[in-house]
Amino acid sequence: MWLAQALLSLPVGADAPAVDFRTEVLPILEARCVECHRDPAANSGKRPKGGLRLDGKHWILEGTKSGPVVVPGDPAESVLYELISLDADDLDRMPPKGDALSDVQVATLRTWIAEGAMFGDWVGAPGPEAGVKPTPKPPTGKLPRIILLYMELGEGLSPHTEEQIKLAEGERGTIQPVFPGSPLLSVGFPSNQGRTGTADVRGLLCCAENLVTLDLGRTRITNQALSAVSNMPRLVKLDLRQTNITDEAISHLAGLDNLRSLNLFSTGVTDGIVETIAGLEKLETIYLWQSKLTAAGVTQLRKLRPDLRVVYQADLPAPERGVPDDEDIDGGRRRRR
Amino acid sequence: MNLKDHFHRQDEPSRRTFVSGLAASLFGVGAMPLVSPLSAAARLDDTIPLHHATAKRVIYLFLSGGMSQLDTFSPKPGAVTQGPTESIQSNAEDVLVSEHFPLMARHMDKVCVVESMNSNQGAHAQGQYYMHTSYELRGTIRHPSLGAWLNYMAGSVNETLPGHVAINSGLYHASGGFLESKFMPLPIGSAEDGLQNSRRAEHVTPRTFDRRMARLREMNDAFRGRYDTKEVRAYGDMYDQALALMDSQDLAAFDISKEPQAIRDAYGTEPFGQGCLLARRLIEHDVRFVEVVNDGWDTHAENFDRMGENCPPVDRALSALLADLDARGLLEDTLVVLATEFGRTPKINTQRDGRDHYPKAFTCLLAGGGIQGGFKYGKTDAEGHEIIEDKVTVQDFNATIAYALGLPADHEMYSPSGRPFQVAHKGVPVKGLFA
Repeated sequence: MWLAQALLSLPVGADAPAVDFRTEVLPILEARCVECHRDPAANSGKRPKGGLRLDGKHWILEGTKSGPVVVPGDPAESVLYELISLDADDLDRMPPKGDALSDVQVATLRTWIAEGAMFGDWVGAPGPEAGVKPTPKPPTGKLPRIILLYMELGEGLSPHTEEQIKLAEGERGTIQPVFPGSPLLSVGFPSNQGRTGTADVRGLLCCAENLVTLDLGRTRITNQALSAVSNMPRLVKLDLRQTNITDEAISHLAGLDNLRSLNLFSTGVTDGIVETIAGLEKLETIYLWQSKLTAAGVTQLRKLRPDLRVVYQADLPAPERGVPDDEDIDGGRRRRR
Repeated sequence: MNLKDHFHRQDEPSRRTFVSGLAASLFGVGAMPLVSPLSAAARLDDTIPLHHATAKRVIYLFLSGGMSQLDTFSPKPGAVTQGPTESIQSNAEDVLVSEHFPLMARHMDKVCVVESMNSNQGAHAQGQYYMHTSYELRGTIRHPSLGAWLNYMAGSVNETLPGHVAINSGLYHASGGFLESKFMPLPIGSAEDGLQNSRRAEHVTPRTFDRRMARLREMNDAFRGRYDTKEVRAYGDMYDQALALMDSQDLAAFDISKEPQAIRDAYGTEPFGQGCLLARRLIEHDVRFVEVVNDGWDTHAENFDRMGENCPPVDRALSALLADLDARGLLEDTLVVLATEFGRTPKINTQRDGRDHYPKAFTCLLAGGGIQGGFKYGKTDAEGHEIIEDKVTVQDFNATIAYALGLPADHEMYSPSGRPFQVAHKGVPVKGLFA
């Protein structure tokens, strides 16, 4: 039965291409072409040889400055086919290093082009338009958004006295108003992170109503510290990076209706937090790099909250590679043609 | 001793000046912050806040020599002034970058490109000094740079680390100016080597060391008892601070070898990349202001060849820094600045295939710390000769940085000779850059 279904789902008729891009063409490109013809960002900033990229549908169809390299339906007019089918000792033959493509590989590419150079559902590296963000609305030039928010949240609250703040600071904390005159407070434990623990967080409770930013990054807090945090209704920004907290800590955050930014970089939280996080309606950004969340958990969170910025990976440049740059030779080749 | 030797000797910091220099840089802590949280909290009559920080820390990258705007972040494709440098679309719709910044092209959504920078200083020393201090270089006074102002006005955050660090910096870069020596930047020559001479010498046992320090204290106490003045106390405090740093758990912030190899590789092996990595480690430990200098941008000759050499390490370091800060959640309140003393002539000096000094219209970058990313501020004409919209002077640019940090631009501070100075001279912050 399943065999019949599988057969039925196959394309049938005279139009069905004999060559499948993903299973037959792509492996050839990846093995022999893409190393030199790809996104500079994925190649230590090295520009693609001859200005040609073969790592995405957009780029393959775009070709080079001198024109397309693949003309769907016409191998004879396709520079790509021409170059791979040159004699092995021809200087222009591609790929320039190693053996020439095998006859079977050349024939596969030829057939693929002849059949219309179809890519199926494969896209590869996106074209320049994809991923480009539209120009943001120019800022109003009045007050930064975050300050406006603090002004709103601070309305009706009275500031604490010097004594109350001293008491809350304890031995290790530093408490400052978010701006002069605001009753809202910003708390951190700079230069004492290694000595700061759950008791210090509990000490903040006398100012709980007024706290809007709390930086517990790199401290020794435990999950229990977060039960104190659950009493801070105006919290806008909570930084728990590089602490030993786990999912249990996050369960305490469910009622924080003003939370905009939550930093869980390098913590022990797992996919178990996804539901609680998705329920934090005002949350704008969550940092999850080097946490224990899986890609599936992140996907689920993004699905539940498409508006939320989920920072799960660092878009760091790939390391440089010690490949000699022979671009000029390639360039000369292209020009001679 | 001949004269040459004598000058060599002068360059060599003596043990004593080094120790006091180190101590001075570390002693930035006890100072009463000018923006006192409590006095400020008491001011209830303000309806609009006067100062509101969107950034807590600054990483200030300085490309020394004069970065060519057309060949980096303000290309003018198709213009006769553009020369052979091509441009590529970045991930921000309105922003093109030159072909030398393929990695940064993926991060321009985080960056505000200030295309309409304007300076009136066309020589290197003067331009660098002006950019750092907002004041013109004079023979009679030395002005503080932004990092010194920040620590002077807002106080240090970390109690055991210096608040102001400068990596690979030179004479006309970061400086404490006429402020007390404790606001001087702690100089780091090489990021790889980190902070030198910060550990107890191996042949001195902890016991010997403690005994020596106790003896020193004993001797000083007698002196202090007789001359109990601020200056004398300050000297003792310097030693205490230096000792605190030696024992600080934060000392490791200076050691980039503690970073995973993959991260070190991402920043690049060049000194500038490793300097940016050290800067990230320091601001993670609440050092307020870190400057990293990159030399070699004075491209009067062979501008286009040299762009191909100069840009890639900066492209790599800056994109790694922005990506790394962002993924750690630190870009929200860390302002990253890319600055230079002036730009380079749009007109190509055809004899030498170079570009000359051009303070009239050049480009700097701002990212993070409350700045709106992904757009260009200000405009120059089609060939890049003239500013046609939203000129930003050097003072305005520095006032904008000060504004991000919540520093009162109108606060006057008096130099030892009694003259008033402000953090960005008379600059006006460009509020249209903030999200």
